[in-house]
Order: sequence, then C-alpha cells, then structure tokens
Amino acid sequence: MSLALGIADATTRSSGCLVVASASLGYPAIMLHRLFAVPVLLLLSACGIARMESNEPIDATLVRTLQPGTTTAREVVEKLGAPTEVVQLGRRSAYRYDASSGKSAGLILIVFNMFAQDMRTDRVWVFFDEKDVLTHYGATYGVHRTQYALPWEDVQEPEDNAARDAERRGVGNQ
Amino acid sequence: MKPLLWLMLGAPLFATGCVRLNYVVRTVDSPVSVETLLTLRPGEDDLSVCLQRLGAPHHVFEYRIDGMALLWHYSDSAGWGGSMSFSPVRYAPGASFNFDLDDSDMPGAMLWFDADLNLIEWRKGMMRDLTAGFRRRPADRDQQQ
Repeated sequence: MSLALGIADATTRSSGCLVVASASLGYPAIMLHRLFAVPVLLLLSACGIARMESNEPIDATLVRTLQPGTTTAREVVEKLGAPTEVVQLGRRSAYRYDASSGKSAGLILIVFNMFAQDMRTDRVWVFFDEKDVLTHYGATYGVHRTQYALPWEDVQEPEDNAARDAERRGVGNQ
Repeated sequence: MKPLLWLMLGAPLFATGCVRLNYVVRTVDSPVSVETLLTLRPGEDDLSVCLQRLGAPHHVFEYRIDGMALLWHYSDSAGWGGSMSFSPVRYAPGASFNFDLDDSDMPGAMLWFDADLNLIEWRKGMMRDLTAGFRRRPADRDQQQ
C-alpha cells in the first residue's frame, strides 16, 4: 500500500508529459507512467537520522567498586555523582542513576514515511538501609547497544548485543 | 470514473505533502525475559537474586511501608500514524489532523518484596495495569510540612 501511494504521487504529477511521450514513442501510457514514477520517486525521497542522549554513560568499573554492607550513601554520591531520583522506601531509601541514548533512522518518501527509533538506557539502582549503608545494588548497561536501523531490521540480535557488550569497558570481559 | 482520473484529481493533495502516512517502529531497551522470570521463586528468592538475574529496574515504588515494588518495562512496537493538513488560502487559518495507531502503553514485569526484601510475587503485563495501585498525585505543599 505504501509503495502504491508513493508511485501514485509521482505518476500523477507527471502524467501530462507522459501522454505526449506515449503518443510519440508508441508505448502504452501506463508503462511510461511506471518508468517515470521510479526516478521521480527517487528524487523526492530522502533519508534522515537523528540522535538523542541524556547524561553520560555510567562507568561500570566504578559501580563494581560498590560494596554492600560497607559503602555508604555519601561514598556512592562521591563516586557516581548526584542521583537522578531518590525514593524513600519506609526506613530505607534508593537512588537511581541513569543515562539514555536514542538513535532514529527514517526513509522519507514525502507521502509515505518510515521511521525506526531505538532507545537504550544505563540504569543503576542503589539501596540503603536506615543508616544509609548500601545493602543492594542492581545495574543494567544498554546505551552502547543503540543502533541506527530501518524498520525491517532487528535491533535485538543476541550476537550483536554480545559483540557490543564485549567492547564496553566493565560490561563485557574487559 | 476511471482510476487515472481519480489519481489526477487526488494528485494536488499528495503532491503538496499535506497528506502523510507514517510507519514507525519503536524499540526501548530489551524485552524482559520470561524464562528468567520463571526461574524466580516467591517466598525463597530475595532482592539480591532478583537484581542479579534481571538487572536494574526502571522504577522502584514503596510497598506496604517497608516493602518495595520493582518495575521493568520495554517497548518493541510498530504502528501506523499520519497527518493531514489543509489551507485553502495562503493567509487563511489552516486545519490539520494527526493520528497515531501505535499503542503508547509498554509491556513489562513487576516484582513485589516484603519488609525483609523477600520476593512475594511477580507479574507480567502492561505498565498501566501493573502500576495502577502506585500512581498517585504528589502531596500538596501544606500536607508535606
């Protein structure tokens, strides 16, 4: 349906010329419509990419130095900086650190457009007891997995993710 | 009326870009693994085990004062959208219409922990359902003091 719309746009705009051409060349008008439609469509089309980021990617090697039972909230803030969010959980508390990266790619055919947006986040949650001593933490690193892709491409391939993990310090085996 | 005539009549609409059809694929983070969720044992596993297997959640909520609820979500959706605009005269007010058929709700999973941080239960579903009991207005300034 999409392609049909795109061709219809290009075809109808050049239909006046095509009728004359078909008379002189002897080709059926509909065939010439199609011949002209493709180059006109190519002229009208465009590709676009965009990138969005928030916060610096979280340093996984720093997060690994956190020691539940000994590290305090003050030491966490000294290492990781100010958290994005603080949640009070009764007597306990939790801090959230995050960063995000988004990449978009699009195929713009004027009438019909296709876009793909891939957004990944780094997240670290640190949990403290009533004395502000670290009890637990959880980390997920994803910003390095973000990629430009068109709608028909798979951005969740395990092999691809593993290869990107291996290149990031503190996340893969490095 | 012949199809070609219909196309010629409709051409001005399409040619000016005032009718647009969009197909958008959105991916946000990776899906929550059902296989991993199935390995969790309520009543036995604690917060450490869950964080180790699922990583950091997206949101943390207070639950029954000293307990907590952790939420993971993701998006892997595709949907149609479009827009239509029309301005009859150059300086006259124009009209436009936009639509988006993609569902803005995201699938995810939520885990509930008691005051001792032992897993009570986990559930998979859509964010609007999972967080229904946790969404609330911020307290008024007078109530905070």
